[in-house]
Amino acid sequence: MASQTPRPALSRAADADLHPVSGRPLPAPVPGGVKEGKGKSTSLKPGKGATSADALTGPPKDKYVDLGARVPKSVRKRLRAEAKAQGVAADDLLSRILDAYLP
Amino acid sequence: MSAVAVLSLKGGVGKSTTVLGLAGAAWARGIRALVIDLDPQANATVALDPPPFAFTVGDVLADGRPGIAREAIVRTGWGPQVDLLPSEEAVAHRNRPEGADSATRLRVSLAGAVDGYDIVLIDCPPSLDELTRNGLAAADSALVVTEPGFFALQGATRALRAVEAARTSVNLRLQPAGVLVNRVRGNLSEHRYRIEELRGVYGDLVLNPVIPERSAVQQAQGAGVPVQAWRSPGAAEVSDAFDDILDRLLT
Repeated sequence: MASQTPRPALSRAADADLHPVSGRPLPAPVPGGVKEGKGKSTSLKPGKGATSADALTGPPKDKYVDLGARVPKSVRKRLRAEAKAQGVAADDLLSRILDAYLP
Repeated sequence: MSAVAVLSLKGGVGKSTTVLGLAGAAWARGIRALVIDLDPQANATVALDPPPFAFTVGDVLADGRPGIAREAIVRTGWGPQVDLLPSEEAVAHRNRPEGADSATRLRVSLAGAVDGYDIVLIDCPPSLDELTRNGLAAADSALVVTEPGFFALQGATRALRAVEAARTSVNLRLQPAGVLVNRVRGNLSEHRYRIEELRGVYGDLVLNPVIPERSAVQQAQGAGVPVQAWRSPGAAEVSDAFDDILDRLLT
C-alpha cells in the first residue's frame, strides 16, 4: 500500500554523516540542524528576526541566568563530554541546544 | 545572472574571503547573491551565519537531479540579499569522480534554481578534484585568487591552466574572469614586485584594484557580518576594492 507520507524531494547523502577520512560517524549535530556555533562573540549575536549585519547597529544583549533542571546523570555526562570536545563551556553548549530546539 | 567560480590551487590565499567580500558588495548594493560553498572546510558557510539547515551541497551532488539544489538553498544571517548553498565536512565524500556525469552534477542541479539571483559565487576547495571541477562546470567565469608572494605566479599559472582544461572538457562557455591579488601590503616592496611580475605575464587579466590586507576583514568574518557593514577605515578600503571587482564581474 502506498504511504501517505510524502517523500522528501532531497534526502541526506548516504555518507553525509560519516567522516570523509576515517569513515566513522561524525559527531551528532545539535537538534534542528546540521550546523552550530562558530566561536563568535555572543555580544554580536543578533536577536530573533534580525540579521547578523544588524549586530553592528545595536544587538539586543541576552544575559545568562540560572536554570534549575534535573537530568539523567548520563545526559549530563554526555553534555560535559561534548562541550569539552567542542572546547566550549557546558552552559554555552546547553544554551545553543535549547535555543536551536525551542520554537 | 552571472556565475563565478572562485578558485586557487593553493590553500589559505583568501578564496572564501573573496567570495564573502563579493557577496558583501552585492549585499551593500541590494542585489541578490547566492553563495555556493563547495569547500568541505565550510568557512563561507560559517561566516554567512545561516539558520540550522537540513541539506548541504554534498547532498545535492549525491542526488544530481535537475533543479534539486533549490531544496538545499537557505537564507543567511546577512539578510534576504544573500542566500547560501551550504557545505559541511562530509562534502569531501563528493571530491571523487562518481560516474560519467560526476563533474556536471552541480550545473544540472542548479538548473532553474538560480534564476532569481544577480550573481552566483562558487567557493571552490584548494584542489583540482571533483568539487572544483563541478564548480568550474557550473560557472560562466573563473576568478583566480592569489597572494603577492613567491609562489603567486606559479599558482596563478596552474589555476588558469585548470580553467582552460575545464573549458575544453566540461564547460565550453567558461571564461577567466581574472587574477585577483589578495592580502596586499602596499608598503612592502616584495608585494609590489610580485604584482608587477604577475602583470608582466598576465597583463590586464590581473585585476585592478588589488585587495589590501586589513584586520577589519577578519574582524567582520569573526562577527558573521559583511566587511561592508564594519565601521573602520580599513573596512571601507576593502569594501571599495570588492565593489570595483564586483562591477567587473557583472559586466
